[in-house]
Amino acid sequence: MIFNLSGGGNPLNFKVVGGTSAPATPAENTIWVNTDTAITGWYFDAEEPNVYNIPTNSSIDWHSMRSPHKLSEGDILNFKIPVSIDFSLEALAIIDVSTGQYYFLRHVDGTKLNAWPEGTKIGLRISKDMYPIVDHNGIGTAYVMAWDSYYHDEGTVWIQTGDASQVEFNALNKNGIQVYPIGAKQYVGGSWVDKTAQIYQNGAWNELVSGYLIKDGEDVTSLTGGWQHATMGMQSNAFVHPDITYNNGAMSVMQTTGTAAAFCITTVNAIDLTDVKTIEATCDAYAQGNSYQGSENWIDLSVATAPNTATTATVNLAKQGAKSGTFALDVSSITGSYYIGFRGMCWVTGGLKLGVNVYNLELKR
Amino acid sequence: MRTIYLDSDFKCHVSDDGTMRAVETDLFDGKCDTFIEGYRFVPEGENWTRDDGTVFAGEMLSPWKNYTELAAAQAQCERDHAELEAAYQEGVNSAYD
Repeated sequence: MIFNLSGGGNPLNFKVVGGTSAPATPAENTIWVNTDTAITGWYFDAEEPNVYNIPTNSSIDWHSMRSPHKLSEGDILNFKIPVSIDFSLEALAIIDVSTGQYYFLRHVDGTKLNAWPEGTKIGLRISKDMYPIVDHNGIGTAYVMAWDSYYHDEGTVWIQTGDASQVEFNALNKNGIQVYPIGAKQYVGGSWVDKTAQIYQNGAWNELVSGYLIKDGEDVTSLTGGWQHATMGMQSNAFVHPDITYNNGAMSVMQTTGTAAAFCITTVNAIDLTDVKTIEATCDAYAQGNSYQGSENWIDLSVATAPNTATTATVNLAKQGAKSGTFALDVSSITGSYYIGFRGMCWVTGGLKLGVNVYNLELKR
Repeated sequence: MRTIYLDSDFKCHVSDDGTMRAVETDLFDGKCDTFIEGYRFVPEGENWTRDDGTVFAGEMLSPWKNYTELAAAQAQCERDHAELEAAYQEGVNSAYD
């Protein structure tokens, strides 16, 4: 989803403001971006808005260029002409590379557009699903505008959205478009810069934070894909697969029989941690028994590149005993997608209790 | 099990510059020096405060350098080791030929 609305009658149920201090008298759903750079516009989108720059015309064979993004009906393709271009004969066109069909850009009177002054900004509303590139109609010459870089106005704010948010809201006064904001960036100095942002709801400022993987004991399956038994690189001849249950406000996995056990559960989906700084779990953790045989009695929260590979980062939840609270794992230097899991092992003389009750599991940006 | 050294920011090092403390751990078994020195290890019972004020309680092990680069360095070390092993084995075999 991407939208950037404006106009009379203000149909919007929110507004976006900037500044280095919060507005004193905010309206409900005021989003305050903590910035000293003036906000020139905003987007709501899960991914970086599709705004493209054409830095130059070149004679690159467009077949050698990377595949364009698919745009769907209603999407807007924006671009800017940074250098003066004057095609004496041919008009600028966009091409649907999936069909080879050209669509010429024309004046409303039907004449072709030939001259493109430096700085011209063009916004095209796409009327059919297509994979467009921008070209001028130099068939035989095959001039193609470079495609790879991005252009945004300095100060543009990108409110990142997800499938779940602590601060979701209806974006419109009438009808309903539910928005799930999870973070904010601003285009400053030619790149997207992380900004802290808060939204005023129910009389208080609340941080725009990323979605939960587990919220009040409920799995956010749209993100996790569910949970699965795995190993995360652990080696043991005592692996068990206790049921994963949801009750009493917690997701629970617990082994209470036997005297030796090892278990591991991970998300079914790999989770993109690129913009995540902290994984935070609120849980009860158990790695306990009447007495211990050896020192390997622990339970951790971990991430790994695959369900059965060794962990990349890990924080201990409990060791030879039980512990409750909120546990944080630093993942600020990890980029890409990872599996998030709970894993542990215990070797006791009796009274085994190995597992975890997870109330909340949150990705914090 | 090997000895690593922690600086005041809990970053791991393979040698002591005289200001660090030694920790015995098996967390880095089989890992190359570059990989180890890209990690932070907060021992049990201690806390590390990130620049943004977030507090992390030990025991925690997490990369402070970009993990993708650390993984690439480790993979290169393993390839180098495999080549050395193969060369050594070839030498042993030729000695018996």
